Amino acid sequence: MFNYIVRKLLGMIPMLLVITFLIFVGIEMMPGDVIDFLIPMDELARMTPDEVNQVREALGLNQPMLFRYFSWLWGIVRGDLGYSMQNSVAVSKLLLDRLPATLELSIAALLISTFLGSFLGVISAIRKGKIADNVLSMAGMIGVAIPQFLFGLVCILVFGIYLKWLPVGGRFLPGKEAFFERLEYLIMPAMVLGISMTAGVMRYSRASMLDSMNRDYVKTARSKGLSEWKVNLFHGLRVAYTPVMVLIGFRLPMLIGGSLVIEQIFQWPGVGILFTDAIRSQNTPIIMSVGLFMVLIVLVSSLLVDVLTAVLDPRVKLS
Amino acid sequence: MINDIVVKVRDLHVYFYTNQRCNKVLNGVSFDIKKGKTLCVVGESGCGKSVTANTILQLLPELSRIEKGSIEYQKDDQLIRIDQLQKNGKQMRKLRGEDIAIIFQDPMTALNPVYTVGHQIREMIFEHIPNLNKKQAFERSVKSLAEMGISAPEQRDREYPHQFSGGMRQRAMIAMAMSCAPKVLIADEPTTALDVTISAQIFDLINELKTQHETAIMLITHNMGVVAEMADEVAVMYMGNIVEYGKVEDVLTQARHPYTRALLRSIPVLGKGKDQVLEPVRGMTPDPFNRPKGCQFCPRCDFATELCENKMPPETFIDENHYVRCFHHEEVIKHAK
Repeated sequence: MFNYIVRKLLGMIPMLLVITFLIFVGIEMMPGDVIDFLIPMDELARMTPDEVNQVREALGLNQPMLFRYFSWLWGIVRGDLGYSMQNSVAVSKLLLDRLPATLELSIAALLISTFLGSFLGVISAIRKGKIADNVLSMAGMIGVAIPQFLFGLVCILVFGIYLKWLPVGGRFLPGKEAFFERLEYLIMPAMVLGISMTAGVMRYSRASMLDSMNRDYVKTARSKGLSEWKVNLFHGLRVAYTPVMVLIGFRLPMLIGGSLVIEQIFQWPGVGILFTDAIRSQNTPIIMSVGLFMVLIVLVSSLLVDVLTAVLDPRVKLS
Repeated sequence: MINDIVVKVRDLHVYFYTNQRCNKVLNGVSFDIKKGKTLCVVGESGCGKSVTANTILQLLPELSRIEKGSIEYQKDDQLIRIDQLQKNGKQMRKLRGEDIAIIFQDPMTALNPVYTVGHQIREMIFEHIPNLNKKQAFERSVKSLAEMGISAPEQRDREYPHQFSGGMRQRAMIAMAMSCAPKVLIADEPTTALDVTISAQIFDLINELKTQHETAIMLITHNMGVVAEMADEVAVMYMGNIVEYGKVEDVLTQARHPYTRALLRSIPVLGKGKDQVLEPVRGMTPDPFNRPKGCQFCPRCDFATELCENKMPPETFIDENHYVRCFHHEEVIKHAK
């Protein structure tokens, strides 16, 4: 197991190199010029092309692309994420500011979707064909079909504006930053992000549970005289849960990606807003750092899924 | 003799309801399972053998119901009407495993892949003998594995089903079924998924249980050879009825139902060479949703008359232990001679 994990982690390095290089090439190919975002518009209008080139040279922007990629990479190796020239701060400081907000939102949403989704899915499977199942299946279908941004906007309208139960956006009021004081700000975005994922988890765990409940070993368990809840939980769910865990594991990176939209709608000061702003202003160090972070999450969560499957299912051997 | 009857099934009707249609799976099935005896139930696929077995433990699928008839279980001095117990209720669950155990056709899928074999046996033991401690339960599960001829049982106990071979898994299934010393063992085609040499071993094991523990055994099979080898009594089923029932020697040598005779004629006999003429049973099994009005075998029967087409023959007793559902059984036996 340990060997496997080490081997997988080492295997990630070439993948990271390739993917970050591709992102770098992508940024290079974007139309527009970074200089436009570095120098205020009116000043730029008064500058001669020679002066602009001087600035470019001073900032090292005229170096060949490969050189700039490797100097970024060398920075990463030394633990330096780079410097954002647009905002005149270190990228590491920006990320440290923003990352906790995103993680807070994503983890809350992940917990909601995992527990609510698997609970409702199991209920739905056990009560198959009954009213509860039909209502849940219908709700699940609607949940999958509604886009997050629409759902978010409707929630803001209803709970934020009409009912005035919850704040319409932001993360906290200045000065009131304790967890319980900002909890009300978290509820709505976390619920919107969580519920839109719940539907998928629910449908998946229902299908997996139904499949498991029709297996012979469930009948064997029943023939042993076990009570219904033991049969469903220890035999039905125990086997059905492995594929659901895999689904949730592969969704981990989607939480960061998915929260981009939610962060925009709720003005949540997370990595999402930072990232979209960075792309608009061609802020290479930020795009690269966030990109690296996302790729890392994808790779690590797929490793996590492998390990979890091996732990949950004795038939799976890691090799 | 009467006290030897452990399970008594009378006039059992079980219907399945699917897509607004009703499949009358069992239409009046009666038989006894006796202490220290083996009852073999034979018949082709879909004739209701497995349903009969599952009905005794109330393990039927959701959309099905015992419509009529009775299942009585003799527990010491007490008579329990299984058909009147709640499906997954406390009393029914207490009978499952402790009094009546069942083993299924395919040992590959009947064991849960994520638990060790020992754990699955102990689950049964703890359910019925809750005051055992872990060590006692472990000893007991190891003992039951050892009794079923599994070598290195202590190590095997800790292994998962996928580490077992097919025959071993069926042994483990039997070990599990027998771990609480039930009075009745129902074996639902226990060797269909196994190869021939292994199935002979499994049958030896079942015979041992019968003689040593006086377990009453209901063995479901579609193999007439197994019947000749194993059975004390035979029930031949066709389309939800027992068409002939009796002691094994009576049924095999004095078969009075055309279907029993047809079954016997369709078996190849070892040593007769490749020139022997096998007669498959003529025609096709009818659609269960569109059954013949009278005798179910009538469209495939050589002796069928107008009476057979319109009326289901009643259970006609030849002697105390032998009955047949055929109007023309005397003609059948005369014809055979």
